[in-house]
Amino acid sequence: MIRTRIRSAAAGGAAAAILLFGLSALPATPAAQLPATPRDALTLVRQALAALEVSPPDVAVATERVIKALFAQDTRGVDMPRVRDAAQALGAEDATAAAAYLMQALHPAEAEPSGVDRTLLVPVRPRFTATPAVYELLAAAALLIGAGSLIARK
Amino acid sequence: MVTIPGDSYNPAAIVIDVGQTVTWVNKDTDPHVSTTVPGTPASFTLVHPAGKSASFTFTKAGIYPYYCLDHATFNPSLRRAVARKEADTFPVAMEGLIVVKGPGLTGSQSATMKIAGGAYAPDIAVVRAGGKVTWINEDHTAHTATFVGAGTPNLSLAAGKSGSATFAKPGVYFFYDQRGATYNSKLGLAAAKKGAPNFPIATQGYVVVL
Repeated sequence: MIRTRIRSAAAGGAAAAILLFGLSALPATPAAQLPATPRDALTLVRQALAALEVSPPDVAVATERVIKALFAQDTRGVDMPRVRDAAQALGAEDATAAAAYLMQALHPAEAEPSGVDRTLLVPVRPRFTATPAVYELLAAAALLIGAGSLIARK
Repeated sequence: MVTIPGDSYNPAAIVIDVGQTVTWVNKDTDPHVSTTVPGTPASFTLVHPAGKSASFTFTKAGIYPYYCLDHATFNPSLRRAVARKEADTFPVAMEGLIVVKGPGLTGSQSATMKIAGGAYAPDIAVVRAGGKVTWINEDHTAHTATFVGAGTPNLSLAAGKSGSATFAKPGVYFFYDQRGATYNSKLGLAAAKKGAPNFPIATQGYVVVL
């Protein structure tokens, strides 16, 4: 009986150690996986709009985002002349006009034959992503827990 | 052509004819965004990636003050660019002026500029050759209208007093208030002194003689 308990405790301990090791291999925070600053004009313009939606409007952040959008290589889904108008309005601290121009800048791109505007689709980001090694470790830990439970029952 | 050697435009002011194209050459390692102030006859917002050029064709005559959106903000009440603290040239704002000659920009025989709250209003006067410009100091402190270059006037204006100057030759004449600013010959603009009423906005202006 004592031997069984010792074996069960050892298996459980090993499983816990592997599980902890596996978890430590995960990224520190999910945010670390995201790009620090978006580079596409569409996201930047959306962020600029969001900055202007708060009260009082954050003109500084909106200006910074709009300037980055002006230099963006990926301008799909964005009417860039309207972004330039928004930049000018932001320079004059006219947040209302800037927001209106940014709204116009987010014109719907031409839809594909399916009727879906793919430019404006935001890719789904998985809640949990890990390397194959992490999945292997988690699987091994699960197996060990299962084995430990079986041994304990016997 | 206007060069962007850093956080400035060189030359700061140019005169062109309507229909001409101005090219900005960014020789800086930083990107810049040139934009016109509100109220110009036509507007532009030009993106200058580092080492690249951008052009704009002026089809309407008039006065076009502009500034870099990335290195300055705009003060709507004073109608002046305000240097961002991060700009290399702070407190001098990255701003420029393009005068486009043509129909619609005729200038007057005389113009008046008031000085109130440490600022010239308006800060750009357009007169014909031989025209006279008068400065009226409505402040309670003395100011000057100091021009740059040989043979140009230097008016000392005590509180409540006025002074005038006549401009015979066409051109763009830059002036500033020596009491509240110093002239930066490299940038062709004035730098506000600390403690000036509208720091970092320098008390400066142009007389455009057609």
